[in-house]
Amino acid sequence: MNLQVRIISLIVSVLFVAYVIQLVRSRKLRETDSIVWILAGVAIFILAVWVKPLILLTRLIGAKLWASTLFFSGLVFLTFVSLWITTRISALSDEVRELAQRVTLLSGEEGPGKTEATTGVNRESFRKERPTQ
Amino acid sequence: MVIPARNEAGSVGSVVSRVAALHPGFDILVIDDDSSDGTGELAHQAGARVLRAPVNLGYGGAVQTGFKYAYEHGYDLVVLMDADGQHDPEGISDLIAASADYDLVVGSRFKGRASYRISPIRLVGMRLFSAIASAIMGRHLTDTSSGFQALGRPVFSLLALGAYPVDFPDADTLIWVSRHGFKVGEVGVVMHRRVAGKSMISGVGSSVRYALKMPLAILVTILRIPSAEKGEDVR
Repeated sequence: MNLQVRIISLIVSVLFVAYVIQLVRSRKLRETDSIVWILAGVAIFILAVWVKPLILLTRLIGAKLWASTLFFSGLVFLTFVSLWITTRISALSDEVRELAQRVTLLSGEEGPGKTEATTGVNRESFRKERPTQ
Repeated sequence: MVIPARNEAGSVGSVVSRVAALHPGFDILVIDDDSSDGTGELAHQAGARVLRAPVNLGYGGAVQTGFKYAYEHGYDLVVLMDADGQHDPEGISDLIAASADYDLVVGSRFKGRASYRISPIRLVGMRLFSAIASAIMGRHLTDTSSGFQALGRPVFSLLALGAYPVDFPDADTLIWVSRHGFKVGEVGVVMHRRVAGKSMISGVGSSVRYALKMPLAILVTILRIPSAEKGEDVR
């Protein structure tokens, strides 16, 4: 790996980690969510300083260029990160729906038949049709 | 009666009053899914109880809200129907009659006296998924995508407390219910053209999404393990 690439990698990783920390500082990113990005920045930094693992890995996966290994691992990393983020979004959507339904049920109904007496009578008429199991 | 409605001002009033006229003893609950056209008001005026969602819950989300309401208020039977006027309220008594023998009764557009025309492509899709679902459940069903259903307490409790699809609850939900050991049956119902408004599945995009989502939904439903206990104890 030539010196130029290493210097640029070092600068990029330092700036990247600094930016992540700034996001956490300004509360745009939570500490727990920032860990994965800080680790990614640190990984780039380490690989720029200490090239050996990258070359070893390149031989291991049978790639010709260390750059390919770098791109490949970056792609795999980003794929998993976005998959993980999608699962977070799914979970949040479920939670939001749950909350919206709760709000809907709590906000109270409008319309006739609101009194307990009416509800009771109507419930009875349903029970007649179908006994509780 | 649970009637989910999103921007159905053109039809919700008449649907509610027809149901109320035919079945005066029933509690009619309209889930107004964040409508902007006064759907909730009209349903209220027609004599329904109205629950208003603060955000768009989606069809499935609105239906599940109705199930949760029924669960919490101790009802024993829920009849689910659309607010767009496609489901003929005359069919309600058939659904309820059949619910004595089944835990979940589907009102089928293709069984018996249906008078309904759908585009051929949709028809093929509906038939296909019905056939797949029938094969999995070991019970012949002709119309698994119908939103005209009667559900006994154990079934709607299961769907209220567990997961329920947000967009189009369909064959996958029936398979899920059936895998919990509940009996799923079918009766023929009359289906009309829409009185007003737009279908949930309209346009190429949502049709493609539907065609892709259903097989996946059916597959994962088969792969899921049913909750150990069914009905009210499901948490």
